[in-house]
Amino acid sequence: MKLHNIELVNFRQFKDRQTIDIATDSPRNVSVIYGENGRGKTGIFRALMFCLYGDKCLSQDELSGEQKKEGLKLVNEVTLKENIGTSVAAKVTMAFSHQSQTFRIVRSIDALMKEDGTIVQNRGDRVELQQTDTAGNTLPVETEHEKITALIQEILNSRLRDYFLFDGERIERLTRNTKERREEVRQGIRALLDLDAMELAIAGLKSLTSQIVKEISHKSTGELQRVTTILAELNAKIENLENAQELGTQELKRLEHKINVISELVSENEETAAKEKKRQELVKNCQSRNDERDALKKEMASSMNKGAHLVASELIEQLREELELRRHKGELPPNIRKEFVVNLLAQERCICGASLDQNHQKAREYLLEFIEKHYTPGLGPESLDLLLSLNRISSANSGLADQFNRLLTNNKKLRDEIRDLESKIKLLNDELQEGGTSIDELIQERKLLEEDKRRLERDIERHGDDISKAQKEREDLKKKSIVLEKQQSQVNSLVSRRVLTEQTQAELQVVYNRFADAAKEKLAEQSTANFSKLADDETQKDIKKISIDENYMLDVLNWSGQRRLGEISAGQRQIVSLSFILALIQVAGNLEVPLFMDTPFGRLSGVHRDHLLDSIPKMASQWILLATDTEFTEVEAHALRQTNAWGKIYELVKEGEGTTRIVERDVHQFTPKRKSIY
Amino acid sequence: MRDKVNIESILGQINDPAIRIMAEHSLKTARKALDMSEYSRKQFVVDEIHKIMPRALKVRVDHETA
Repeated sequence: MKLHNIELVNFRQFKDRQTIDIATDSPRNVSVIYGENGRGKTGIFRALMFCLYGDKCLSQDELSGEQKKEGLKLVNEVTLKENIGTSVAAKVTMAFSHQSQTFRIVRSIDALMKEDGTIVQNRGDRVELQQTDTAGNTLPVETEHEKITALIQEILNSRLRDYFLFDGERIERLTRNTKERREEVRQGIRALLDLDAMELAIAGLKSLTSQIVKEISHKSTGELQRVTTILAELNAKIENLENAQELGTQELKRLEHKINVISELVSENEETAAKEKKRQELVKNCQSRNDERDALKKEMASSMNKGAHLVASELIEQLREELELRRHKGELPPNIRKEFVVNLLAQERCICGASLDQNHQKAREYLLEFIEKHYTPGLGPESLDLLLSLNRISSANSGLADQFNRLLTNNKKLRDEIRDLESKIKLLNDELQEGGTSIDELIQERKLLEEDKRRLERDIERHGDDISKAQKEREDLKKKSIVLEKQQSQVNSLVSRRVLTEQTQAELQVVYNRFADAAKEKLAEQSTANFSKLADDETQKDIKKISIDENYMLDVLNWSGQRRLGEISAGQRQIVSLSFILALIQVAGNLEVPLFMDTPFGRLSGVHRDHLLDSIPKMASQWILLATDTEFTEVEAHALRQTNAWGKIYELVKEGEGTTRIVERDVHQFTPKRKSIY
Repeated sequence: MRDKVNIESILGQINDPAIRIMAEHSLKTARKALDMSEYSRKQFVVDEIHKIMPRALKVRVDHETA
């Protein structure tokens, strides 16, 4: 950035319209603003800050919190007083160039003075910017605050505003070994070298990475992996079931075909079927007969113990007839025992109750005759017992023989029938076997096949159910999987983002470390080089090197490498500070600005002043020296004139109370009011 | 005489185009954010990097495909 021109209208003590053209032509790049204290030298820089950033105060202004918020009153008080009750604008116009483009920015702020002398200043300001591009085309005037601010930030970031105005006091302060000064140096280096922006970028990337990681953690449940595994298992299961189903269906077709073939075989051979039917009836009949015969045999077996009587029945009958005959002849005793009859006579009473006493002689005689006739000696009473037994056996044998005859007859009949049936069955079997496979076997095979078929159908049906169930489960899982995949896709996208942010963060950290080390080294090196040009011989004997340590702490090393900042004089410290400030401007890639120095010579000896006047024009692109009459004397003017870098001089002249007039002087003719004090 | 160190030129040397885009954009955004309050600057950077990421990822995909 190169500053061309500043126009002030009613700004601070600069009443009406006043202009300063800044020396821009190399090597004449030095402009001197010359004036006594309170004439408004700093006001020029203040105007610049207002125009660029809308600042109403500077960082070095010692204001209270409320004052800082309100800012300084920028409108010229004299003009306000002349226009009491009327709004008056303070306006600053600044022309500058940057990277072959030119800019003209105008910013104004209104204020009015009340009757009681109170000044009321607007909080807001108006700004417009006109840009001419590299081809010389003038672009439309921009009036939007935000766009103008963004553009100015691009050209000269506002955080660098404190690093192109250095007053004497601040220059001296920079090398004080206090925490605040070290922090100022650190901030200056970080800001000018963009290290603070790098740190913020890295912090932002870290924060973003953390946010992404949290989001990934929130969305990753491992559910998709589980669902995918189950889906794979289900797919395999369904495939297996479908294969089994297919095999089962093929087998079923084969079975059905075979059953059909057998059924056709069976139904096509009606004669075989009829024979088979007949055979089955005969088998059934035969079985029935066998059952009957078995029952008959059991009955015969149970009657067998009576068989012995039957075997001897003829002999028994002959013996019984013989004995019966002899009983008729009276050769056998009667059934009544002799003692019984004798006893009746003795008791004179019959078993019928009739009396057998002497009065019933006839009855007694009959009994006596009976005794004499039947109890004469012959066969004994045992023969009568035998006859009785034989009569009993004979009577039993007469029914048994009929029973045996019946059983034997039935048995024979059944045996004959069974033989007949078996003969017929054998005949039919022979006939059926002659016809090939037995119909039974066919039917049996068909029966087995039909059982297989039914089992297979049940399997197929079960497989079908399993497939349907698995397919339903798979569909549900697929739906879930789609949702999870969507989430996973988001997770994958987040992972890509995380990887990218981590990589960028790592890369930026590497760049930052490398750049910070290189910048510190470069700054120290350049500060030392500047110091060797600015410091006098004696100072250079004491100080060999300016160093910047890892904490950005500025120090000076003596010939043996010992730190000596605390031991050097205030003037020497000022030279060290200036060397460092110039190094900052020289090294910082983003700082191409005019260097404003406000009363920088206060503590400097003559040689140092000469060196400064000779060297700074060569080091800075533009040097705007704000100097009082006591420090810019004939000697300094002469020394500066000798450099051939002096392009402009303006004298700030007091016109009246609260008013300064900027008067341009001829650098060749200008004579400072005071001669050198040396 | 001038021997300036410029961070942009170093970032421009990053080989990976996606990382380069991200790094350059992060730095550019961080510079803007430094003018903001301490409280909101980091989130601003995060939001801005978030916005540039799709472009950087697309460049990465294109680069990998090529």
